[in-house]
Amino acid sequence: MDDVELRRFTDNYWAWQGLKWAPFGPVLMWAGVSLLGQRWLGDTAANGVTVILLAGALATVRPVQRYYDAMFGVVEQVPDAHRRRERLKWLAAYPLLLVVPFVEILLQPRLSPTAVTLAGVIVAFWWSTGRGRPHYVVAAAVMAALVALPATGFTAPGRPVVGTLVIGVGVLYVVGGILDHRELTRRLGPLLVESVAPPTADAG
Amino acid sequence: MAVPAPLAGLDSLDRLVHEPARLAILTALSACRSADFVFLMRLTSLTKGNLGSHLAKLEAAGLVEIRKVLHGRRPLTTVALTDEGARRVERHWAQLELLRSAGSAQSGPTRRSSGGP
Repeated sequence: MDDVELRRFTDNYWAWQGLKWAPFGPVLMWAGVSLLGQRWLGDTAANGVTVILLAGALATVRPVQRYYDAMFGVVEQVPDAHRRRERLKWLAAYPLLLVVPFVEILLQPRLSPTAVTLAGVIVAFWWSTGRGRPHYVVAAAVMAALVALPATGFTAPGRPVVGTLVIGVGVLYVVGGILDHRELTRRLGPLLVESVAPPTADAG
Repeated sequence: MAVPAPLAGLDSLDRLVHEPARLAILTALSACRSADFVFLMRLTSLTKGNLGSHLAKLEAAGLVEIRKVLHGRRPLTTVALTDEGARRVERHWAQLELLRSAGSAQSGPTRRSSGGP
């Protein structure tokens, strides 16, 4: 790592702890399946699956954080170092992620604004959290390519497209989380222990 | 033999900061409020003893501050850059950048002239 990469990595160490994000992938995948209108489960059972997946994902947060703290170390961020990023996240990214899919479901356009939004948010996340990790660039490119999904006829416009994209984001949480973790372990070497000199032949 | 002009600046480099492991430690610390021993061990691929020895030198020079804190119920050794440490590492990187630029400026015309008739 050069000095710029070293600073970016340390500054955004929390974002590279991918195993924290991976358990939320199945929650999103299930949400996507629900948007597609699955009919194998009744409403009560479907809600139960949602609660179990969400509770399971939330239950992993603290143990996984403890694992990262113990195995890879603790970094305390500079407070307010990313005020601009936080502002953009709360005032632009999250509102867009909530509003755009609803608009797409309502208007059923031939090109998917949700795919464009997701591609933009993925790039913004990657850019603002230390870059590296090329899988986010690939994921954003795939999302951008899915803009034309409603026009292909592969899925009907509106709700099915949004459902498919949400499943895609769920897959990204799992795969991206695992690849983030891999990148983190590549940047942080193994814990070395002092070697104890073996006894020499003439010892004693 | 005279030292080429761009390399003359090497003499003025801060040797305490310039050592690769210490430079990595200080650079990483410049991007956060503090980092613990385990993170720095992994980042620098140093053993506990070697890291401890580098940190002791940096602490003695007033560049870092080492604290023992409780993280939950776990004792943690955290390291943070002092104001002086932050100034020294920034100045060091600026100096290296100047040397690099001077080196490029010097080697540029040489490369071009070596390709000539």
